[in-house]
Amino acid sequence: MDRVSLTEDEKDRFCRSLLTHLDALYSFAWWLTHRREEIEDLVQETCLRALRSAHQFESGTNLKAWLFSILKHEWLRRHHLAKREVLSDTFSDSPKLQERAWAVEMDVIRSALQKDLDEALRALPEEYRSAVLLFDLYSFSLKETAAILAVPDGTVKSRLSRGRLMLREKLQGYRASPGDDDEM
Amino acid sequence: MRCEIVKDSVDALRDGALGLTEAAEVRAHLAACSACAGEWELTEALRVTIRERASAPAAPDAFREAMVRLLERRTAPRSWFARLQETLRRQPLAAIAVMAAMALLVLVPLNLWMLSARETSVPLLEEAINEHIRLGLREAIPEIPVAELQPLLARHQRRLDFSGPLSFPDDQEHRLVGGHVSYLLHRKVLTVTYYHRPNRPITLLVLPGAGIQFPEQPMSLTGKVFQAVHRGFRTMHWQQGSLIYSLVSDPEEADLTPLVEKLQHGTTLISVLSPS
Ligand SMILES: [Zn+2]
Ligand SMILES: [Zn+2]
Repeated sequence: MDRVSLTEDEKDRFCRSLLTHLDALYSFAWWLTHRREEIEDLVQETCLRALRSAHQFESGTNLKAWLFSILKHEWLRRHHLAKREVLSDTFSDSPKLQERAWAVEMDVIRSALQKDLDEALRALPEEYRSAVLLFDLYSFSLKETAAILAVPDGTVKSRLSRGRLMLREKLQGYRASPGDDDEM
Repeated sequence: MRCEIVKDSVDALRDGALGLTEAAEVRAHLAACSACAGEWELTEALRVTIRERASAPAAPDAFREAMVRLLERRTAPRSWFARLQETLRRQPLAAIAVMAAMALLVLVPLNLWMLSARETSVPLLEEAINEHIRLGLREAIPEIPVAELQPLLARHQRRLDFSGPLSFPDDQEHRLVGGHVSYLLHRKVLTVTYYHRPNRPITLLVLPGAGIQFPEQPMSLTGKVFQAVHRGFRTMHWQQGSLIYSLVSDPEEADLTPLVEKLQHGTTLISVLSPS
């Protein structure tokens, strides 16, 4: 579709679809920043940008993924992180997994508390956290995740596997030192 | 198939992105290789844990309501406060102008605010004026006596990052009469009544600011105070911490600025700063 603008009816429908993704956008913004005003500002900006370029959206493709990519882009723009994003990908060492019994590790994963899980996710470098959240929590496909993060599919795969390993290490750490709230 | 290749393909398998043949090969490897199968299961468990337990906070009601209103209007007012801050950051000259205006307390009343179709804070403006009218009609003594107002606000303050006086001892100009708590705009609002000498009522509303939009274009800005004349009433609005302050006075009232100054600073600056 190559029109410059939508009819009022189309805009109405677009706004209604947009609002069905408000909670998801809000929670993703929550994972990107701590500050409530910034969360609200990010989501608001995302919706307005989406509305302005609604005519560019290809119907039939995933609106939610498109909105997420706008939000992620807006967040990067604000934090001037585009450069850092590229640099951090050059750290290619995989975290080394400690040797441990499979059953123990499985138990740690299955019994993780929300508080520990949140903290572990927050502690991940943003690019790993976003990849894991988009694919594992928000259930985007690899292609959609790659589009949202504006990186190749292969980069998503490596961020996923490294991110999950880091997450497992952190969860294991909480288990090893219970009651230690100042885990960094 | 080697373990390394499988590791690279497992997420595509989860995704359903592999072709039939490749998917079958990966599955065959997983069935035969205990190391890869173990990893697969740990990752699956981690994914379940994340989906079931990771926080995913929903948009708060006030924010959702604000977004609905915003999208209905299809315009882009950022919070007036953020907008102002950004303008000041970008244009130091504007900051100086604003400070100069604040020092001189020069007010240019404009009444375009409420006329604009894109205007988003009509509810606040309307509700503030309605409240002022209701109190005037009732002419009753407000149910919260002066002595209890400040402690009441102080109790709110513990949750809201604000601190400011409501009454000014020995002030003959603005006499605090009392107040009450109402429920407007889906929130609790502290309403305070002042008498301006000799006995002209001024109503002050103090309310949590979340979700309340101020106009896209500040209509009249002095310091960070917005002014609007609406339905014949004079009104001034500003933000202090997370709270919004809204003042409404009768049409005959000339100027609310001295009271704004007192509420913001606990004292009036007008006598010190005005050029006379
Ligand atoms: Zn293997
Ligand atoms: Zn001040």
